[in-house]
Amino acid sequence: MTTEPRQAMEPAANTQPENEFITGRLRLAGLLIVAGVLAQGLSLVWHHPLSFLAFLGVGGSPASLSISLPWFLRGTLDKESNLLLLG
Amino acid sequence: MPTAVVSAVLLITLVIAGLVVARPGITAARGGKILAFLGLFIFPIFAGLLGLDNHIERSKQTQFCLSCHIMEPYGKSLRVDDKSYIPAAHFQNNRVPRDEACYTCHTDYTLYTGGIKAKVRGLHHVYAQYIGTAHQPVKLYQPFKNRECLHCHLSARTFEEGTTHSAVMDDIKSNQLSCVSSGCHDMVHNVAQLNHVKYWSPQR
Repeated sequence: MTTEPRQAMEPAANTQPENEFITGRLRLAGLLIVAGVLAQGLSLVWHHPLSFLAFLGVGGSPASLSISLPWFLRGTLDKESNLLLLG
Repeated sequence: MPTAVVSAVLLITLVIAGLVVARPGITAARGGKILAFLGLFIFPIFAGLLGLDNHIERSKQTQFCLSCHIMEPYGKSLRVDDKSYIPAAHFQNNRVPRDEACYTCHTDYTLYTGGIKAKVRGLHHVYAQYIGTAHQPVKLYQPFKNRECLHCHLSARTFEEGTTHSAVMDDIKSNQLSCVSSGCHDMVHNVAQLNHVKYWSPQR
């Protein structure tokens, strides 16, 4: 029985992120989360009839978009990519 | 869920997402992948659900109901110094929780008993407040139901054994005779008369 090198089993384990497209999308997802979470946090301390709408619209929309972004990414990612987040 | 807990979850989400934005390269390692998965997926959903719960709970508060200008007279009526004013008597004597006074007697205006329809009405109220025209004076969507009184008073000894109520108990329970009928407890908010009444100021 032969033992395959670890590198062969996990070819991308030690590589640096090379795919700028994926990195850019990760940054975008992160920025949307940051923006959404900040808006949600502000809506919690804003006692106003519109605060709930601000929570859903201003906070929820970017957060929802960014949460769904990795799923859209799945189809575009190389299966060998080390940046594959959810695949 | 207390606002402090929700804020803490939001802060954790913010830190992890900020880390991914600043250093996306960390996702090359297994630990980074897990961190990114938590920060970009699990925590935002968790924080969103907690925030939603916090906002829905907040909509029960008297302060929330009175935050629309049109509701101010109704808030004022809670401080009328006249025990025949039913809402005022309940509010001032802690028969209803003061911070959830409106919700306690108008449960059909909330998601819990009014369903999605109540929330759609709430959106309409926001529209009327800021863009459209609100009806003056405001009116209930449907006649006040005895259920709003009975969820506390039913099975209370003074209510059940009182001769006045026991004589018409079946009609009260079946909503055939309204609690706020003329001749019964008909002095409710009565906002048209608020300029002619005395007000209670709580002692500090």
